[in-house]
Amino acid sequence: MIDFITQPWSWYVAGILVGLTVPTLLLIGNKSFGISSSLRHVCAMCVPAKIPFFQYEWKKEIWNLFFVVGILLGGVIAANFLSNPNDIQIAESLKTDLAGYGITNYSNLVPLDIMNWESLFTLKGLLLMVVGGFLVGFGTRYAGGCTSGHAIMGLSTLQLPSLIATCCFMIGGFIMANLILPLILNL
Amino acid sequence: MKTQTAPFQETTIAELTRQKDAICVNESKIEEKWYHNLKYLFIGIAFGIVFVKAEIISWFRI
Repeated sequence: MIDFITQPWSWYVAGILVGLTVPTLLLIGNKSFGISSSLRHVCAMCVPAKIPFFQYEWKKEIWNLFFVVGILLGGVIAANFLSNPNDIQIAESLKTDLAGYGITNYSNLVPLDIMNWESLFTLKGLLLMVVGGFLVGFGTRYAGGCTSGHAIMGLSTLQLPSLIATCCFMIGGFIMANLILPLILNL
Repeated sequence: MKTQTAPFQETTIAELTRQKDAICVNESKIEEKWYHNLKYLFIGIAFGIVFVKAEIISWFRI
C-alpha cells in the first residue's frame, strides 16, 4: 500500500482521475473546471481600475480560488509526504542526451542542474524560467484558456476551439522540445 | 428574448412565469455559505496530488 502511494502513478490512473474532475465539479456545484480563470478573478479583486474585462461580480467565482489554492496544497502534500524517494524514471536515450547539456540530477520533478536560484540570473535560466513563464501566461490569456482549460474542460464539452488549441499545444511542444530547447540548453 | 404575446392580451400569472422561463440565465441562484467552497478546496487538493504523483508537472515529461 505504501509502495502504491510513494511510487509514481501511471498515466491511465491519473488520466481517469483528472478526467473525473470535470463531472465532479459539475455535479457538486455546477461549476466549469478551470485553473487560469483564477488569474482573472484575482485581477478583478485587486485592480480597482475601470477595465470592462474586470467589471463583474468576482465574489461569485470565489470557488475557483478555493479550487486553485487546493491544487497548490495538494502539490505541497504530495511533494512532502507522498514523494517518490527514487530518481525519476526516463528513457535511457533521453538521459544520454540530457547529460550532454549537463543535466544529471534526477532527484526532483524539475532538473535542479538548470532550475536554481544561481542560474536565474544567467541568460539560460532567465529564458527557461522568466521568459518561459511569461509566454505561458501570455498564451493562456490570448487563447482564452490554459492547457488544462482547453484539453480537460474544452475537449470534454466537445468544443472545436479547444481541439484546435490542444493540437497546437502538442505541435508547439514538439517544436520547442526538438528544435528550440537544444539551442537554449546550449547557451 | 421576448416571448410572443398577442397585443392587448391580459397577462396572467402563468404567462409571467413562462416569460421568465423563456429567458435563460445560467448564473446559479443558490446562495451558498463560504464553507461550501471547502468542497472545491478538497477537490483541488486531490487534483494537485494527482498532478504531482503522476509526474504530470514534471519537466522531464512535459
